Amino acid sequence: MSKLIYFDNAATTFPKPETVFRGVRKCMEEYCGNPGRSGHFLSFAAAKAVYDCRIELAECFNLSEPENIVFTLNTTYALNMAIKGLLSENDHVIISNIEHNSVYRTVIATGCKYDIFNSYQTRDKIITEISQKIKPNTRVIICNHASNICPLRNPISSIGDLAKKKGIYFIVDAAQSAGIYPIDMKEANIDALCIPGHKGLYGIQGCGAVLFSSKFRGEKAKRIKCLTEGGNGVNSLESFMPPTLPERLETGTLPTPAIAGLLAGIKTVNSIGIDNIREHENMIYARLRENLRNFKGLKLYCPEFTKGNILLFNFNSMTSVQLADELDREGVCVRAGFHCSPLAHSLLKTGKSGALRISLGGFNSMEEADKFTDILKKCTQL
Amino acid sequence: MGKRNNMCALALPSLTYAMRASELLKSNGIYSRVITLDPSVTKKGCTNGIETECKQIARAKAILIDRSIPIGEISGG
Repeated sequence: MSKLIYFDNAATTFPKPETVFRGVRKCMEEYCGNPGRSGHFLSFAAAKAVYDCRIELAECFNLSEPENIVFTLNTTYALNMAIKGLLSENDHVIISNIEHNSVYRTVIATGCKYDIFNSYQTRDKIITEISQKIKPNTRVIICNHASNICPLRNPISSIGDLAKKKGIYFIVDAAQSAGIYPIDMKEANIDALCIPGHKGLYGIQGCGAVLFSSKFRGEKAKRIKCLTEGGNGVNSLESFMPPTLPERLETGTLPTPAIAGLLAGIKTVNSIGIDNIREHENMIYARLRENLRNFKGLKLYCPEFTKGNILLFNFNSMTSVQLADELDREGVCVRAGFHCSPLAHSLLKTGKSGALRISLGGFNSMEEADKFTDILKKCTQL
Repeated sequence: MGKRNNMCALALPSLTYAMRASELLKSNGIYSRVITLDPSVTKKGCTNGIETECKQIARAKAILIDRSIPIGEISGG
């Protein structure tokens, strides 16, 4: 088997930059005390790295309050924290029809009534549809910024504008867009931005975050119900969680090495420039799109999108799992099935058998796009 | 929360806020140090704060209030 082709970057980016290895290693070797617990210098050094990461994230997403950034295990945990923290019984929720289960299942678990808007239409039609679905008790609009199975994106600035006008909280799932598309929390009126550390920001697995807007500054954070309770080194004699972020929602020891890796990842992404990374991925996407559109027996979904970093397709008589298995034997990493996105698969009419997803990252190349097409020919001529 | 020479301590809600406060003061030309406050003298238990010169404390407090940083007790001086 020759050099692998990794086309599963929507699941987790691979490989990681050398700077991230160094950041994690330096933390492990030199300062990995428990942040926010003991008063010794190693604990403070670890806390400083965590704080530096908050500052970097705040700058990246235009948030004035770095203390409003809550570290989590991953985006799913961040979404659970924001959704369950802001919703109460009898609230109404609006979500899109391209949501991942991290939103869909979580909203259902709250027991709140919800409506779904269609993301596969023009921006104006999306805003009109959401407007029509808003009720007096609509508390939150939740949507992803970019789909995890196709190049569809939600117009978050327009949706945020509407949410602000109606006095509704706006939660954004940026699992597939953080580090790839610019996100300005203030401009888009986002109240809670949920991000992964290990995807477009190139950190390691084990760390995500939810960024809360200035609406939750200081003791206004009490508006958010705690998802977990426990120790965090603050107000230890009290029997309840502190009123301010981030410690109100951060319980137990933080994953300091993963946060140190995320800090290194963000700096690397910023030094390259997210516009440059996105353009690079767009270029490879365009080549693959062209190759796949002309591939006999292959059905490419959302073929009209000329830019993106995700392609979804099926091939004639093979199931997506069979084809992914054949590609795996040839050293190609892709993902088949439903990608935890039943709503989006239903939208694309792949809800019964799923499909095969290619997702690109900053380390992919044009050469890989052509090589993949050759391997695909081989795998489909069996 | 003790007195060290001419140093005064400001209690803050958490270590994160203490770091933020120290950064804000630094950008305004006030030197401060993040400290762990003695849990036996705080009513809530473990927490952090900053230590700065007592002569700077009024200005420091004004800067932090202006930036919506919740301040607890002041001691020392």
